[in-house]
Amino acid sequence: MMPTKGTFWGVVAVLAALLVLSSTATVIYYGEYEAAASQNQIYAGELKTALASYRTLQGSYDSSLSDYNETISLLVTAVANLNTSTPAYQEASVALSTLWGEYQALASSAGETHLIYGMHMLVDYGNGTRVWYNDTAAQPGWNAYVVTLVLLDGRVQATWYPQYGEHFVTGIGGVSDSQSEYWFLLTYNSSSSWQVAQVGADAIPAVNGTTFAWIYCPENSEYLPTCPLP
Amino acid sequence: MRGASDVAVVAAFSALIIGSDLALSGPEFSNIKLLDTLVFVSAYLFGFRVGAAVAVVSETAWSFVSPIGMAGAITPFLVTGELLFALAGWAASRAWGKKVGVLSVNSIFIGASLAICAFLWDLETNAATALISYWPSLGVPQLLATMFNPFTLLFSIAHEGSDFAFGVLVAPAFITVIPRALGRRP
Repeated sequence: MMPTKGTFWGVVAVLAALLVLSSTATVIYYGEYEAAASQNQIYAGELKTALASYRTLQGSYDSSLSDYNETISLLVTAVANLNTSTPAYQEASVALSTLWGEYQALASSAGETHLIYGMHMLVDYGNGTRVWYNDTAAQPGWNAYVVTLVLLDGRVQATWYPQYGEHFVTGIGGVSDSQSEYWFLLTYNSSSSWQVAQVGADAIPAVNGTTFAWIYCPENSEYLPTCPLP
Repeated sequence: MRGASDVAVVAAFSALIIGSDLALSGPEFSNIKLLDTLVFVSAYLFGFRVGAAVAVVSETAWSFVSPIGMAGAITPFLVTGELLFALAGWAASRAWGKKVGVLSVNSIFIGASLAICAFLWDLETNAATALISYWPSLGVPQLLATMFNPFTLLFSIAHEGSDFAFGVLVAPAFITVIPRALGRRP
């Protein structure tokens, strides 16, 4: 049975309407697509600018961290050569520990890897209290005196002898030399174990694995400690 | 002409002193220096004026360029102490003449003079250390504790011992060789 003429034109009308509708929708969506693409271009441009800014910022941050590292190094040099009774020494020696801690936190969060040595220090207060500071981070160029200063938050009493380039340590962690007991510096190596240091703390360089100890102890007539070595 | 040659001598000795100080600046040579011997020798051979100039120039320069760091406020005391060696060198040349053989009796006298000067230098600079460290509240106990303790004793022994050895072995050699090199009669 053949469709009637009316049905035919009806179908044509429906198809035409569908065509019009789909075309309209296409035009609308194309317009929106164009707008979105243009917005995208803007966003991509902004992202590019932001990325460049981020890279600049990261470069500045890395450079700041390097400067921070160098500043600590310079501060350490200054502290190691200042008269210990000057306010500058006293403030810097206390601040050094905090600054070093902050620097390490910043460097590690930024994924920065600066050369750091691990040192081990023992403080024996002579009353049964022994405190080990194991694998503590030290900057290349530091010495045992600076490491002690940093680990004990500046709580080190000493007299600076510029003519010898050495500090004479008379108190550690709030315990000072008395008439009968003194602080002795010991060094450790695997072949000869513990021995009384032949040089002062300033002459013991911080290298990876350096182990040293401070013990509070009476001395004999040869100025050697009478208590057993660790 | 004398002035020009004196300046040259002062410059040469000062350069030698700074070089040797640098070479002996490691911790293994703590407080062992040729400086004292060379100041002594310069005064012995060329008189107190030259010796004193060598002492002032070299000690002042070293106080600024030392790898340990600048000496700071103690510099005038280090320089003053060094003048002792110049004075001793000049006095020794008058007492024991220009001929001094290595390991001779006079060389031992020179070694002893240098050791005494080293002792006085340590005493003076340790007192200055106390003065600088505790000023303005320096008391006698602090002064004595800073001047005399096992720590300073170790440095003093190294200083006096090395100065004695240099006085016996090195100073006579310089006293003999330098005039010959300069074409002078001993």
